[in-house]
Amino acid sequence: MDQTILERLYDIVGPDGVVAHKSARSVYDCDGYTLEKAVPEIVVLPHSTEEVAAVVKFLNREKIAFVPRGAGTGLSGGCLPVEAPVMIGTSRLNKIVHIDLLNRYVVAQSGVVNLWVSNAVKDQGFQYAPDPSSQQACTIGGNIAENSGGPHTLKYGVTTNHVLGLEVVLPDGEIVTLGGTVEDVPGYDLRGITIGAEGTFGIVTQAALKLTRQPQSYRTFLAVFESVHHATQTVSGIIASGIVPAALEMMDTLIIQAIEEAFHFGFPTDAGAVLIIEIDGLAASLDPQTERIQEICKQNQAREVRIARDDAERAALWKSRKRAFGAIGRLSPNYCTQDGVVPRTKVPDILQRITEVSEKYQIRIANVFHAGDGNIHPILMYDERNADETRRVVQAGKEILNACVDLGGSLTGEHGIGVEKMGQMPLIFSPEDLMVMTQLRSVFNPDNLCNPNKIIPTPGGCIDVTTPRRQVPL
Amino acid sequence: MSSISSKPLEDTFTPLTQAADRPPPSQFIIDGQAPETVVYPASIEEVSRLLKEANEHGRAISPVGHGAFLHLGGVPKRYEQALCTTGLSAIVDYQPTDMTITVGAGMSLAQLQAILGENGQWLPLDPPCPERATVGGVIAANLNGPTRFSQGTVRDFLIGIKVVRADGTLIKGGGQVVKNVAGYDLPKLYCGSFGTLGVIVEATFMIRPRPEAQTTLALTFSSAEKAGEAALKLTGSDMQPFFLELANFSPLSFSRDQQGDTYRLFVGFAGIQEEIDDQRNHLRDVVGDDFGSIEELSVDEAQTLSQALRDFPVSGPATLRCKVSLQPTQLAAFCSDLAAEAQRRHAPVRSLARAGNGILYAAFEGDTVPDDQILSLVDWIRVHATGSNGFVVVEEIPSALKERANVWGSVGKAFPLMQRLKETLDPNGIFNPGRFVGGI
Repeated sequence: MDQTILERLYDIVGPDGVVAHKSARSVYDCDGYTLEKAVPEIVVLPHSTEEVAAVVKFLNREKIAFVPRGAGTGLSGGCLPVEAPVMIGTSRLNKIVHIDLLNRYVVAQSGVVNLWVSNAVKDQGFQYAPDPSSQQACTIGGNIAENSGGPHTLKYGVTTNHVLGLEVVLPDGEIVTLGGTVEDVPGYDLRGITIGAEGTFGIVTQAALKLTRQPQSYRTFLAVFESVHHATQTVSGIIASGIVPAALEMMDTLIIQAIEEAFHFGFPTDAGAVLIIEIDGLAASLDPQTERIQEICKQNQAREVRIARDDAERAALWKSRKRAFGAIGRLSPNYCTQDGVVPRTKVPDILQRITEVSEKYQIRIANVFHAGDGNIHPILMYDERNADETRRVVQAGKEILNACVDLGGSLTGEHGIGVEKMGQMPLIFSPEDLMVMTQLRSVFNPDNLCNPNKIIPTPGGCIDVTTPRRQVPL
Repeated sequence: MSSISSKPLEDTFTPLTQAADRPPPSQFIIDGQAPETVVYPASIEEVSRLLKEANEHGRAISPVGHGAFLHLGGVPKRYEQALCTTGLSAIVDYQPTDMTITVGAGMSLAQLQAILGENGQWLPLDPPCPERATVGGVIAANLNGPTRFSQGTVRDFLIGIKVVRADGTLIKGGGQVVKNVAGYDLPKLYCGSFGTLGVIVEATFMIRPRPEAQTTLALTFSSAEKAGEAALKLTGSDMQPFFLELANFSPLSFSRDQQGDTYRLFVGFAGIQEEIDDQRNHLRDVVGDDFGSIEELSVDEAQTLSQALRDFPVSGPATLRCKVSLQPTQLAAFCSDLAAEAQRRHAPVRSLARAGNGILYAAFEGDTVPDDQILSLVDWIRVHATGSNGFVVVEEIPSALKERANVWGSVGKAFPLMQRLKETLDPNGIFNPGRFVGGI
């Protein structure tokens, strides 16, 4: 990188705000999507919104592309620098600026870790509801970019449902507020369109986040079934009964066996499927719902329904769900996952298609997923040393995503398009749809300097994927 | 549960809706201006064709439904054609067990709720006049009601949208699944866009089970501050009110207020009977005893009340109506100050606040208030609200005063972005010119 540019960046953020040495920069070469890697030419770590604005203003003047980065836990390559020499990290924007419990919001800088927000208010009985599995590391800024969910999305909604306002440094260096700290701010909902824009509309430096009361009480069930069919019927039955569970997760035989083999939790290894069902809310509401859930499970021939007796058991059950991906390591040297979504009632169909794909390509596929939302996470197992198997895994993954789209679903429920699924966007969006997205990006990011080469495929530039995707926990 | 899946709108092309379905042109007068023509497309293709033609001729269009909310917004700079969407009212797809529904944008909210009600479901929105509020209008004007406190607003339920752009191109955003992050979140963009970016033709919502039971309690207080404090105690507790409304008047003629009590807090609880009972029984523990009276309403009373609360932003004659966005803690003092100021000016005010959301609707009665008085009242409200980082939208005012009252107020440094957005999506400025923020 040109020395004068480096010097100018040093001037703005100071020597401790620049990562220039090759070995130090190399840790920024990818996020949780590790298949593609690119080392940024320089990483800057501004200390304030004003520094972010000054850096961006300078880069805009020099027409140098840049990519924002939070904690790098993303799963679709959203902060991979693709023809963007400068990376702007938010790790030093790590302060919770303001807590207002009476008005139920928090103002946090974008580098604040998701879990810190809930930790800051938990003693007062509040929480920040979106809880992605990576919440111990991922940042608020990254959550906003990806519109992150979490296991409790089913009842509480995703990031966009919990953000009141944003402070954003636009790609020309202007600082604007979108939304605010009150509801119904007049004008277009630019906050809404910026959330989930995967960092292509500017750099979020601060956000006003809604706080939610912690549930008074929880109840967590483990229901055991002979078949996936019965488990999915139960999911439909619970939803149809009028109960809105906090979480509704499914695991199939292969993943149950993997977990049991690895951790010896006492799961029935001969079960066709298990469901983890959680309800929360007022204690008085849980007993009647518990009865109904048990009844629905029984109607669908559940072999057994266990209820977590206390917080420790509840924690253990969730831990088993979250360690599922780690357990796969015992079954297979490599694996990749998909993040497709189908309408809830199509879960049995997509599972059937996954079974067919598994047989067709001779690939073992385990399923652990958010059944209540129809958001699947099939885990395709392979050995990367086997070139033929690797190729079959890529094909199988594509076929599963195509099947999701055929069933009326989507390519991604929570991981984002990033660089990973750009090539598949035309499966669900017409050229006209993609055109309006390109135009929207131009409204915010006219020179496409901010996080270029993401989300929207360039015409004719369809990426041909020949190697499988990441293998990180979800 | 059965699933209803009608043919897509594209396949039901007919040149025009049946005359009986057409609201008459007299419904579509905006600020005294009548459109030169009213068109009633019955298909998406027809919307496309009409817009393409209008765009080529630079013809100013207002997308309308039943015309129930046309008092909102600025005076049209030009108004040549009303495009009435009520012909687009099909159920495109309804999967009760998926808890999603896709409908034409011209369907009324009441009709949508009736369809969902057959399966014990609802779209958790309760805007004014559901019989005359269309799905497209609810989205475009971000209409909602008391239950926004517990349920949210239209942006929380709209998961997919189809829009015809100015040049006649059909675009879609989102999809039919409840969890989806593919591409930019276009549905959000059209929520509250006031018909200035395109004609919404179809919408997909995630829906919810209807609460099994519901009850409403009315509490009276001698001051706004005491009522406000009780509301804050509730929102800071384990209680989960369905709605929480603070009023300085009595929406019920049968209300049995205590002497001297001027403020009322209406607390709704909904869900299964056990949780309603639990909350009702613990209400006093949470709010304390600084109130005048507490009373549980009968089913009929509760029904009448919830309609009155829902319809308040558009009901009865008013010289001036404002919607004020504040933080919940600022509401009580604002209500109190506003009442005092109104009294000083001999312009009686009724205010109703969505106490948990910080949203206040204020309506001033009396048709003999001089224009400069009305404008100075708007100024007073705006100065007080913006001093607390709030916002004021003037929802109803004599048309002649709209420009001077600056009905939307200032939107600050984000305005250039909004202008660019409008120019990008409606380059010829055919949609509702002049009626949105900053004269967009």
